[in-house]
Amino acid sequence: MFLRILGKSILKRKSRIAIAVISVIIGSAIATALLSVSLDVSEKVGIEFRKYGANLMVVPKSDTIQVGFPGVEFGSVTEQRYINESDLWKIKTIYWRNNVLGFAPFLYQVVNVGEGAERQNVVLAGTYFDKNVVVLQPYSPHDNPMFITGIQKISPWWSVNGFWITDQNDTTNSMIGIKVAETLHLRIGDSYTIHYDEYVGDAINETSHNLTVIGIIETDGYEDNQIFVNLQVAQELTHRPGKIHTIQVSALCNACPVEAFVEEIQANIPYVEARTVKQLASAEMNILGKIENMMFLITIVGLIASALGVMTTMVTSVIERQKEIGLMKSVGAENKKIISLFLSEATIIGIIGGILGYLIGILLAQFIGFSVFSMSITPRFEVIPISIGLSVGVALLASILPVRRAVSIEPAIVLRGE
Amino acid sequence: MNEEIIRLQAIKKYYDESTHVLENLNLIIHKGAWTSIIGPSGSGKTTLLNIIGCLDSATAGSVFINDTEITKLNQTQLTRFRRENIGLIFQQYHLVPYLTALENVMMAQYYHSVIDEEKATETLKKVGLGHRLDHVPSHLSGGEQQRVCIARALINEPKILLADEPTGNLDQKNGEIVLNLIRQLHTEGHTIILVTHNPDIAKLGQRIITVIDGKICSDSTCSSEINEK
Repeated sequence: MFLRILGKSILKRKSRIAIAVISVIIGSAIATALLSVSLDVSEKVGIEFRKYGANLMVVPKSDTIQVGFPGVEFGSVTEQRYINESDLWKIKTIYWRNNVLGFAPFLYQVVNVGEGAERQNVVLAGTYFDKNVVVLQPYSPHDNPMFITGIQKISPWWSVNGFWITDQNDTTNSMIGIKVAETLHLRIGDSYTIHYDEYVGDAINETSHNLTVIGIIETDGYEDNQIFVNLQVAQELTHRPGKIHTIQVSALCNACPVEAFVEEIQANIPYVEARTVKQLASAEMNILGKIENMMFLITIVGLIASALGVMTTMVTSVIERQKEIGLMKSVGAENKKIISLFLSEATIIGIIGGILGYLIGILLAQFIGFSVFSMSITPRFEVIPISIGLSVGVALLASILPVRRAVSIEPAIVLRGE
Repeated sequence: MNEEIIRLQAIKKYYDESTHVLENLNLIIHKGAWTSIIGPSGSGKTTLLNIIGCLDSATAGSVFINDTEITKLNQTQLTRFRRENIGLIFQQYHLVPYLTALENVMMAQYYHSVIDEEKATETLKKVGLGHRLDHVPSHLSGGEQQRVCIARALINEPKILLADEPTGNLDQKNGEIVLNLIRQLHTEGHTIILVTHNPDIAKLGQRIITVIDGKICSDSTCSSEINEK
């Protein structure tokens, strides 16, 4: 009989119940969307930030000068201090190895391009583009000993006209910065020669190497002024086999301290210094925190609005049903039966609103994902019980006042129409 | 017939210091009696009925029903006592609009103990509504709605039936039907207290109590005052 009364009372007041359900849907959808985004946001925003470059820089321990990268000191290219390429794999053997998204070694050298009076100095950067690195002693036997890494991993945001260098043994192709292309009037497909002058005492040994442009890079950064080739090309040209100046590391460390990376890398390769790009890291954490706070506040506001909507509907419902409630009391309904009727109604409103709100929230999350992060938000099923629980909770909370009002109804008064 | 079922001792009902509805009212009602309460509007007769029906509480005094002093019961106890002992018939029927005639009767069963659809059907048949079981109140005439109200009042077999202007909203024909039903219930042994404006209906009872300004007079002594009012 209870279900019959409950069901018929809901059906009788479909439009009013619908308003309450819509109120819950709004709150639930906002909560679902922002919760889904929030659960993904650390990872997504972290990845988004990684797109703007490495957040760790590894250089040899030496007297250094600050060049090229804001807030980061590179090892001086004129000093003969290097990192051994053969130690690169050790970066993937730290405790937080799975959070190392990628790294790229760099060997820099100023070279000449052009002939005769047209010769111009340009920075040549030898690096990995998409290199298979063998981790000789994995941290755990379950770790994959192969790791594909390179500049494509740590700087996927680069705007490239043409192609990336994909062959790790390619010694003839190069990618050049847009400013280099403009200065030297180079286009994709053009060939050019780089010259390296090595001073040996008073003598100059010149080494040349022919390259072809397959990609033009535009980053609005120092890369626009550089020529990028496979590390091997730079090492052979400059007679520094197995040597590198710096390693740029892209670490996803929202759940782990960046300092932990630094300490472990320095422990694994004792002659290097690892430095964080502090500005980026702190900005990342700051923005992440602000985004999460904003989402939390919007969710709270959404849920409050939702609760107010439900409460208004329920109060109106109680006012409209005063005589009915008075009658139920007069024929013997105890307060607990009246309370259970209204709370059941609120629970049903909460469940329906929660389910529909979840579905709409997932769509909303996708919209936020695409418009803010340019990527989809993975629907998380663990959000379903949270969404429904929140909705039911809000509906029940919003019912407290109306239920108190219902309980306080005196049948003698309402039944005589006062 | 002389067994006492209701006793009111020095009942007072004040809404505030200036609104005295009942003044030091004493009344004994016997089991199986039909008592009519008559009086002008605002005289306190409905308040008196509500106090007996555990719907309202007295400001002072004691009410005993079946030796239970209901003036000492809390709200929950009053509700339980009411559903066990008292059936209420309202002038405006007060049926739940979205429930059928049968469900309105069963609702009283549900709040009392357990539902028994067969018994509810039988009760509706008893009041002549066997063919209207599945009709919602808006599809029933006033007289039929009042009979559903009576069936609902009877379903839990209360000892006392309280009727507040049961024919007040009915035409003569339907009023007759309802009064015949009440008469039949009285014959079956129910104690009936009926509030009415109508002296002719009041006369159907074995006893007529006249309430004026919150005080009880006997009908013989108060009739002239009623006419004056």
